Amino acid sequence: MKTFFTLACLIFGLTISAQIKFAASSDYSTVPVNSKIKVTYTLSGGNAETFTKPSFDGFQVLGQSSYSGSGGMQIIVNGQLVQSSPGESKWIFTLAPKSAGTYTIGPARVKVKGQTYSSNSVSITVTNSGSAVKSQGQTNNNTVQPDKNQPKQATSSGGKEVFMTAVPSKSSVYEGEQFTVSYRLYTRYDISQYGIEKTPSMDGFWTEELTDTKTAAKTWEETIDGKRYMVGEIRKVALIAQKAGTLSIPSLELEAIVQIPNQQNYNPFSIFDQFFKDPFGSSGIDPFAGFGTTTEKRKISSNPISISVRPLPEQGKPESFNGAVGTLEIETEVDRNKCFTGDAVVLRMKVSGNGNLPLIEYSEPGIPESFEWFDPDIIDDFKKTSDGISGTRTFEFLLQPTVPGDFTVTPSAFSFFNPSTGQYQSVELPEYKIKVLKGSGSNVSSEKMLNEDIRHIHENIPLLMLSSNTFSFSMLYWILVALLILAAAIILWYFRKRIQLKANVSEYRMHMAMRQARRRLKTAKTFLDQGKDEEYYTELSKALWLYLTDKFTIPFSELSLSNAKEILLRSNVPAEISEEFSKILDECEFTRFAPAAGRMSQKELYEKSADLIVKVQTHAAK
Amino acid sequence: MKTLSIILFSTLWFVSVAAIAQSQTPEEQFSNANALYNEKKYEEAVGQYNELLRSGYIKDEVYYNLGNALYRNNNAAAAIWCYEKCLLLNASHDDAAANLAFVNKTALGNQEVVPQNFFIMAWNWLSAQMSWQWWTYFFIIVLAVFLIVLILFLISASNKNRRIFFLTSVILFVVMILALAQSISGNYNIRHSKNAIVVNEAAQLRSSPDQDGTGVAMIQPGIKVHILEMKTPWLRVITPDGTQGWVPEESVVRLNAVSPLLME
Repeated sequence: MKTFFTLACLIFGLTISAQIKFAASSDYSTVPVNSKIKVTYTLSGGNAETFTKPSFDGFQVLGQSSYSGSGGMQIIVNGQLVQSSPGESKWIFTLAPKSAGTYTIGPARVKVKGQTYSSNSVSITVTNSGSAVKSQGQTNNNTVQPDKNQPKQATSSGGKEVFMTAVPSKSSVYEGEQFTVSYRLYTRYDISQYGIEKTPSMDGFWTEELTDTKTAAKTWEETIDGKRYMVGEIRKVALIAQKAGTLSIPSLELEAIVQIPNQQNYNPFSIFDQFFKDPFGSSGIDPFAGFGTTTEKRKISSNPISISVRPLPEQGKPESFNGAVGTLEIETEVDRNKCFTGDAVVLRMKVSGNGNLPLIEYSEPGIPESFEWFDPDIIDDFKKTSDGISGTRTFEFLLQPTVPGDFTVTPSAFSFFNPSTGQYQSVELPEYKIKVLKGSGSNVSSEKMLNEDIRHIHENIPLLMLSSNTFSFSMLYWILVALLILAAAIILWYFRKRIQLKANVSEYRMHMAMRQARRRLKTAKTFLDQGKDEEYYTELSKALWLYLTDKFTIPFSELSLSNAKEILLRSNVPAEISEEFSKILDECEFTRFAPAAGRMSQKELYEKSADLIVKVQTHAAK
Repeated sequence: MKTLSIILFSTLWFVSVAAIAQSQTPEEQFSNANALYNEKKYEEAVGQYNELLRSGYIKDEVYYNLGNALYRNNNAAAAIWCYEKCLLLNASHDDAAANLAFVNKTALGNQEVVPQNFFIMAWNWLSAQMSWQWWTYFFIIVLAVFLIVLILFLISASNKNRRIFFLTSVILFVVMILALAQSISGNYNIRHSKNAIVVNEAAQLRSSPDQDGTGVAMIQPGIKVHILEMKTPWLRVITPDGTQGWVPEESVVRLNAVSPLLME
C-alpha cells in the first residue's frame, strides 16, 4: 500500500498526454456583483493551432493570459503562480460581472491537429450581494493558487496535511437528474491503509456506487496554498434526487493509517523523484528514510454538502410523462407481425442514453383486449462511467393473441425531461399491425375462461321430478327391456316356424311318396283281382305318376312321358332303371286304352311297377 | 269461546299460509331461487335450492345452481361438493365441469394428482359423454337394434349375409354391455358413491382411527377424498395425491348425500 500513490502517480504521468481534453472552469459559480471571477480553459494532450474565445456577455474582461508548456512547470501569470502538467495549455480570463443575473459563458474552441474541439459552457450566477460560492469541479488536475484578496478557495486545506473533500458535479439539479459526488482524499504523507468507517445515508436520493473497489483509485497531484498534495478519488457515487428541496448529504468518515515523517520537510514525491533520478538506489539518500516516520491512525471526515433540487416544471409537462429525466432515446419493435393464436409476440421498448435509467418505468402500451399480456420483463444494460450511469433499459412485453383477426398494437408516446435544455421532449412511437391466424392450440381460450369467473347459473327450468319417479331402472324400464326381448323372441319364433313349415311340406311329400304309391298299387291289385281292367290300369299309372310328382316335388302338370326319364336321371337314378321306368309308364298308358294289345300280362306289369318304385326310391334317396 | 275461535281462526290461517307456501310448485321454487341469485341474495337462493333438493327434486341443474350460489356466498368447499354431485348425476354437464375446475383452482390451487391407468381414464371419458339416464336410454336403443340384427342373422339364408349380421351383432352386443355397465355404475354411484368432500373446515388426517393417532396430513376444505374403509365414527380415506389416513366421519360429506349443507 505504501507504493500505491507512487505507482498511480507514475501511470498518471504517462497516460495524461494520450487523450485530448479541452475543458472550461470557473473558480466561482455564484459571485456578488463587485467581485472578480476567473475562467480557465485547459487543453491537455495536444497543442492548439488556434483558440477562439467565447463572447463574455455580461462581463467585463479585466485581463487575459495564456501559456502552454511541454513539460511540467510553474509560471507566474498576472502575479499568480500557475502550475502546469506536461503538454497542457491554459487560457485564463479575469472577468468582472456587470450586473446581477445568471449568465452562461459559451464554449471556447480550439483547433488541434486540424480538428476543432469545443469546451463546455460555464454558468455563473451574479448576485447583488452576499458571498461567493465555490464552483463545483473546481479542484481539477491543477489548481490556481488562491488569491488572498478573494473569498476563501474551494479546496481548503485548513492547514491540515491530510483531509478529504466531497465534490458534487452539480450543486443544483432537477428532480430525477443524475449527478455524481466524488470523495477526494488529499494528503501530503504516505497513507499505508485506509478504510471507510461510515458511508453517509443519502436520504432522498437513489444512489449507485461508481467506484470499483478492485482497481486502484484515480490519483493526481494538486497544489494548495503552495503545498503539493497527492489526491486520490477514493469514492464516487452517482445520485438521482427523488424529491425536490434542499437535500443534504452528510459527511463520509474515513480511517486512515498515516505515515508522518520525522523531518519537517518531508515530500511524498521524494520517492518518485528518487526513482527517476536513481533507479538503482545508489544515491546519497538514506534508503532507510522510510523508517524515520511515525505511524498514526487518523479519522478523516469530508465536508457535508447540500444540493438544491428543483422540481420538474409543470409547464409543458406531457401527459405521457412518467418520470424519465435525462438525455434519452427510445426504440420500439415487435418481433413479428403475423402469428397464430396462442403464439407469443414480443414488443420491445428500448430506452437508451444518460439519465435516471434505473428508475424509468414503462407506460402501458395500447394492446388489443383479446391479447393476453403480463408485466414486461426489464432487461438492463448499464455502464458505470465517471459521469454516472448510462446504458439501456429494455421493456419486453410478451403478448399472446387469443382470437384471430387483424389487430394494432400502439405503444404510448414516450416523453422525458431533458435537464440540459430544461425542456420536456416527447417521442411518438410507431404503431404495429399484427395479423393473427387461427392456431391449432385451442386450449388458450378455455384457460382464459378458467381465469375469469364461474359460469352463470342455468335459468331454464328443467323437468323437475321426484327422484323416485325417474324412468331409468324403474319397474317400467325393466318391463320395457323384457318386452323388447320377448318381442324379438316372438318374431324369431314366427320366422323359424315358417321356414320349418316350408321345409316340412316337401320332406313330408317325399317321405309319403312311397306310401302313397304302395296304397295305389294295392288298390290296383284289388281291381285286378275283381277283373276291372280299366280301373286297374288307371290306378297303376296314377300310382307311378303321382309317385314322381311327390318324390321330386314337381307339379303334375309339368310331367310328361318325355321329361320323366330326364327327371329320374337328374336325381341320380341309374340309366337302365330310368329307361325301364319310362317304358312301364309308356306301357301303362298304352294298355289303358287298348287292354287287349298288352305286351305284358297284367300281373307282370303290376310286379314290375312295384319293383321299380322300390328301386327308384333307394337310388333317389342317396 | 271467543278466544277459542280466535285461536282456531289463526291456526287455520297459519295452516293455509303454510299450505300456500307448500303449494308452490318446484318449478316456481326453482325460478324464485334463480331470481334471488340474480338479485345477489345468495344466502336465500342457497336456502331455496336446498329446500328443493330436500323435497326430493334431485336434479343436476339444481345442484349446479346451488353450487354457484354457494360459491358466491363464499363457501367454495360446498360449491365443489355441488359441482361434483351435479357431475355424478350428469357426467356431461360442461358448465359444472368448468366451474368445478375454476373453483378447485381458486380454492385449492394446482393439486397434485396421482395419474390413473388407461382403462380407468377411458372409462371416465366414456361416462362423461352423457348422463347415466341417457346411458339407460341408449342401452334400450342398442338392445333393440341388436335384437333386430340377431334375428336377421338367425333367419338369413346366404352365408355372406350371415357373416355381416354376425359381426354387427357382436359389436352391438359389446356396445350394449358397455352402456348397461355405464348406466348401472352411474346409478350405483349416485346411491353409494364412496367419494366425499371435506366441506366445513380443514380436517386432520390421522394414522389410526382415534383422536390420538399421529397426524399424517391436513386436508383442506374442498378436497375430494375416496373412502376405503368405514369404522364408525371414523373413515379411512385416500386423497387425490395418494395420501391415506383416518378422518372423523363428520368432517366430510359423501357424494351420495342429498345436500352438502348439514341439517340445522
